[in-house]
Amino acid sequence: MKQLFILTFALLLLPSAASAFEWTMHGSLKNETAYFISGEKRLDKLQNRLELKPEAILSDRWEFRGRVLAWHDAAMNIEASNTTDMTPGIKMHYRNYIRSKEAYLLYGGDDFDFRIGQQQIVWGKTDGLRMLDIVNPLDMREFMLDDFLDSRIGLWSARLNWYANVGGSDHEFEFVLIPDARSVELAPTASRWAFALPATPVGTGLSIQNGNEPGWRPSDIEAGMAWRANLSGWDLSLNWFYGWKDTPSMQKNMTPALLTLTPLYQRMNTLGGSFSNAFGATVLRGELAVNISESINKTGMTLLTSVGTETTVNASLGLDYNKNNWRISPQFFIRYLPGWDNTIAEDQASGFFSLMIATDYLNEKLKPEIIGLYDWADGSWMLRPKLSYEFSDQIIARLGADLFGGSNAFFGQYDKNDRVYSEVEYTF
Amino acid sequence: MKKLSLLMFSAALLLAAPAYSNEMTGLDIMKLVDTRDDGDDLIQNMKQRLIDRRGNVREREMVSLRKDYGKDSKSITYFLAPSNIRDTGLLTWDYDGIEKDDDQWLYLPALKKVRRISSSDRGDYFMGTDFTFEDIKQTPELEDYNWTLIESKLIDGHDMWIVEGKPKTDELKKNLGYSNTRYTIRKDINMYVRVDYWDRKGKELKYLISEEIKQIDGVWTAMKGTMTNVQSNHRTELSFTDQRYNTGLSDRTFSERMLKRGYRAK
Repeated sequence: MKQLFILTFALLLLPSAASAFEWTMHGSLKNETAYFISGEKRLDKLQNRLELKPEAILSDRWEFRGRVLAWHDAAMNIEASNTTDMTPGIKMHYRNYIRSKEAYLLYGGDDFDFRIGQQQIVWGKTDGLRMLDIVNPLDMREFMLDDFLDSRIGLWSARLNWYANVGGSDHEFEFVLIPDARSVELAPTASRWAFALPATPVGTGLSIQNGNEPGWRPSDIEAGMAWRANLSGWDLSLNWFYGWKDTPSMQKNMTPALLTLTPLYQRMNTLGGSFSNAFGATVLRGELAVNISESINKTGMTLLTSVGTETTVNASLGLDYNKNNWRISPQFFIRYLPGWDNTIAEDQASGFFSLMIATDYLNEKLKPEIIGLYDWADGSWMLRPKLSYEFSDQIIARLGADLFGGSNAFFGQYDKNDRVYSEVEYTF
Repeated sequence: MKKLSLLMFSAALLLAAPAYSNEMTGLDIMKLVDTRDDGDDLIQNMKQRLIDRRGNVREREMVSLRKDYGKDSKSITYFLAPSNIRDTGLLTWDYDGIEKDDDQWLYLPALKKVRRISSSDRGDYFMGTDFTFEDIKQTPELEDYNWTLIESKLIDGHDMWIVEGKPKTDELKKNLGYSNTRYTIRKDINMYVRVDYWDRKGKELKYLISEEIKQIDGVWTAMKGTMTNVQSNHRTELSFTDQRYNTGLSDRTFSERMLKRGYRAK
């Protein structure tokens, strides 16, 4: 099926390429250096990145857009190997990277846009955390610290956006079909950015099996629809997505000597919507995503009792306040399980509070920013101060830190991963 | 003698009358500026040069499209270069009058998202330039200012009006960032060629000079505008090329759809 999809894509591209009259190539060269300042102090990364964005106008209607990201991480050569978080396998995972992030054809019709190829499809209004933005899974090799643009895994898909004027208002209807179903790519087990594994009793071993990852199979196809409009000043959307939960639940099987974990990937329906509107200096925005039959972890230790499915309600409300070149943006997130019972391995209500404060000086050459995320259910947090300076149109430097706190839980599990970093980027 | 005096008085009145009757109020003049023919729609390329006090230059290239809807208008601006802001786009639905705030959306390619942004803080500076969101409008919201005709005089061979606009309230001064503005307007084409701005404390802040004014498709057009901030010694030069008026731009040009797609010259 994958071959058929890519062959169709190539056939669409080839005849058009013959009559191509304008190709462009933009991109960037970037050094990202990060150093752990807590836990074992060492280089986290010394990445030299190349990003290429080829584009072509193939005809009046057809365009091609692509994006490739590649890097070499010299820290994996500099830092000594060990048997814990810098094994040869982990080093190999982090040392080199080359991926196509996007490669799609766009057909611009009078009343519709059609895109086919590898795409990132972004839904929702929230920043930093994902509720409706669930179409593309993430590459979580650096937890959630990478920009979503870099960490989203591009999916081979077809997307139709149809625009119609109904009753004097413009409406957009989006239809998405994804044969390339995929799951999140987690950091390698035991690496610094791996999710914490469940504790095992003394004397009990731990084994992690391969799961039933979704793939290029007709039975695994994902599909979605969205409606968007601006009505009476409100930007509104309704969304539906039938896909796979990106992160697996962990099916457990406990014997006296061994705890076996098997990632379990399950389908779910997501229904939701979003809104935003401006009121004076403030923009109000929000999002709702109801996941029906979402796969969740349970407290049991057998195949049948360790996972289940529940309806979960996920909502967010955010404000963007702009005044005198300051931007203050608080967001509140809540996740609620209406059918919760004490066999479920998470709280009935959980969520986050985030705050972003940013400004600029010297005609936007100097931009300080700080983002904080607080997990109000378990008290863990993450703080991300950043300072960027634009030396010229092409060269930008950034200094920043990623700080974690709390005992275990979502952010606290990385308490020993505080890091400072620098970035120097040349764009062309 | 009395008859002669009356005759002389009447003659003087007759001679003087046209001059006084033609002299309008500051608001009348600004309405002429606001309603001058600037085409029903416009597409143009723009180049921005941001020059700091040391002479360091940053350059940006944009394409800007505008369409009038009666007294309202819609515009969309795409950043084409440099690469780090390429495809950033700003969509504005500009409503006449002060009853309704403008609607604005910003597309950020790094997020792949269209963000609703507040348009109420008109004193915010636009993308690092010396122009505020208020300044980049063709004319300010006339209802927000008390307009006064200061004088008429000949400058560079052109008859000019000098019109002063003071924000009506302290709140407006705070919001706009100005305590006073002064427009130098060419009488023959109802177009301003210079604007001076004073900050909230009454200190001279910056000035705009419009140059290379010529007629394109029958519309008087400034090909260059330079805003110089005298306090920071930073200036922004805007140069405009490839203006095309009244090409019949489609309504769909000014939509979130096109903001997300970006601009590709074909």
